[in-house]
Amino acid sequence: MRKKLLSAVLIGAMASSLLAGCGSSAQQSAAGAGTKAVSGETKAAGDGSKTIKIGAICSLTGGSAIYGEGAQNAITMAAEEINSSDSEYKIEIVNGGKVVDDASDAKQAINAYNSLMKESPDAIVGCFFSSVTLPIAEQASKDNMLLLATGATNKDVTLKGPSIFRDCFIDPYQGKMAAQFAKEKGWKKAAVIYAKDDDYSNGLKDAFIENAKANGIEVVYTGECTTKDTDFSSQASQVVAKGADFLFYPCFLDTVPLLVGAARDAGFTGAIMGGDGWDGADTKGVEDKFDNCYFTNHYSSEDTAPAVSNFVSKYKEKYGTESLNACAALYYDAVYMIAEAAKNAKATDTPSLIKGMTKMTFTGVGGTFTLDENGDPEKSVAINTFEGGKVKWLMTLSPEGTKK
Amino acid sequence: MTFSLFIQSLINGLNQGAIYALIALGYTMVYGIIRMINFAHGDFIMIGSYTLFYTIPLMINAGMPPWLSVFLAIVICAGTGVVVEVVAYKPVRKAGAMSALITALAMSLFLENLAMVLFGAKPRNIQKIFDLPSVSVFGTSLPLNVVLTIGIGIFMMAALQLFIKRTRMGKAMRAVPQDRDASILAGINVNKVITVTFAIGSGLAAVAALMYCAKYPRVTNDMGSMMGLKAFIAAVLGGIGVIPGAMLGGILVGLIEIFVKLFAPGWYEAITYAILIIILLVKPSGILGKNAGEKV
Repeated sequence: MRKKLLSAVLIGAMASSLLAGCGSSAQQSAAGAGTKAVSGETKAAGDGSKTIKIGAICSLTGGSAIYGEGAQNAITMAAEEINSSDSEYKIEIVNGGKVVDDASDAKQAINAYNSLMKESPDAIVGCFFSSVTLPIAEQASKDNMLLLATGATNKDVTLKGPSIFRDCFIDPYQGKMAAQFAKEKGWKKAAVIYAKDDDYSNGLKDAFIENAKANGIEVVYTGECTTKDTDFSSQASQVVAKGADFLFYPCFLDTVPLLVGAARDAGFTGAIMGGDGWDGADTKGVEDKFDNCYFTNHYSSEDTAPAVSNFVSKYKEKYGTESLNACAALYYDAVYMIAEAAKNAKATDTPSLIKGMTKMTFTGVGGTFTLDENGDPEKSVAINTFEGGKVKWLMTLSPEGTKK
Repeated sequence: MTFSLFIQSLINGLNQGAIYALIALGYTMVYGIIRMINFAHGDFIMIGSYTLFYTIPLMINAGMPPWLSVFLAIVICAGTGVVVEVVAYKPVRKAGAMSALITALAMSLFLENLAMVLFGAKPRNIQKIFDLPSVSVFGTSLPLNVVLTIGIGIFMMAALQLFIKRTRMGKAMRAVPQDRDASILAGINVNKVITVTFAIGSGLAAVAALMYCAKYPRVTNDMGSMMGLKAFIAAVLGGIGVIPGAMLGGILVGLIEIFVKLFAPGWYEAITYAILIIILLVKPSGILGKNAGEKV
């Protein structure tokens, strides 16, 4: 799965290098956009334009179409809310208010980006997947375009340039939060099983081990596996033999039922935890084994915090629950963050927005967070558990500790 | 290593090994009769598993124990095996061993991708097949379905051995690889023998699928490829074509994997294959293989 992602990224990299030919034209048009932005700035300084033009990219077709639907609804809703409020700055979604499709494909994503740039937006929101966001981030940083990535959790995205930000946490951050959760629960001896052939898994594992020590948790066993493995009985019996009371398994959903089954069969009764890769894991037939299992995620619609319940109830009323996912919440926050950046900088042109966005502190559906020097947020994570095999929100954990 | 950890791993290894052994029996059987390595054999397990996935809920609804689905799976796997043999393998049999091997590889890929189109790439969970309790042995929990898997493996091996040694069809099966032309002269219908061999080998895959799914309740379209490869290695290790060898090889590969994984989980495949190479260097025909040169 990750390999596919990697190859998609590589293809993206190739595509962007191939596009170097037309890249010059893209850059020219981007430069054109830049001069326009500059003229926009003078205009902003002159007549004080109060409208922020935002372009949005997400996946509208294919298997991930449900994310694009959520994103479209969320940005429309956020723009309507801001425009009908007494906010000084108004939002205009370019491309006639429509999200542009990246088809979950790196090459398509660059096309989507170029088509948006023709409308000379002040900021771009997207994408949801790291593989498609990376090439866009590359180009956006060349164009000095503000890119606010939503679901792209790969840590390299914001390292592409100072104009790239995101409103989701980065992958390894979940390892840190898992360690914090274990500390709050009073678990002392942790075991880790991770897929050594997977970047995501390695990132979470390293962050977990580093932070476990800082939180006074002893890591008693570290076992490797691969993303293709089906047998975890050896690792599971080592977990039991080392007396661990907590097992961290930062891998993807398809092997989660096998790992949980193997651990329970080996007599492990402690907590088992994973990251957002667990979201959507199939618990059918092994429901009872998923008791005392947890995973971190971007947000949960069951969260009782006012900002979340407000967003959830408004969204449900307008669009129903089907497309109400983490993606919608992240795009919703993204529009508000750009409006906030305009307020901070008191202008709507791109350089001002970038200045306003840098190191901003923001409160929204994703909780209260501050962007660090890379443009990544240290934000709350939702911790989900299982009840009778069904995912259930347990708590929202903020980096400073439990607030609720 | 504590004693209980050792016992636990021994049990895990035997369980894994018994599954490999059941698959290896299918490889060895086909190879023993027609000297052909059926690389699609692993994918017959996938077919058996999907049959289980779709029929177990029916069994439960009808109030019958879920493992009865295995009989349906045996029928479907045996049917697929025969169809594959008649449609794909039989026409190329005269063209030589290499053509047959390539056809088998192509068949394996075809079946995997057909399954992806038909059933999707998403892994499916299989419901609990055996509701057996765990018993405590030497301070470790021993799930009884592990005992059952090992028991079924030994039973299948013994039954197969009896079938080949004691029945007329078995005798014919032993005669065909020795001299095909002489077998025909002796009145053996070689094509029928080969078809029956495929039916039995594929039926064994369905039993292996049952035991696999009891331990790892998940079906994917590509589950057969890696498992098939390991079982093939087990068959070669034990001496391909020798039925007790498949059992021995399977158990050995399972035990080696589990024990290596216990201490160096990242290394288990490298070490397993290294051991295979070493054993074959010492005894090229496999542990129980006859050293007499094969007429190829």
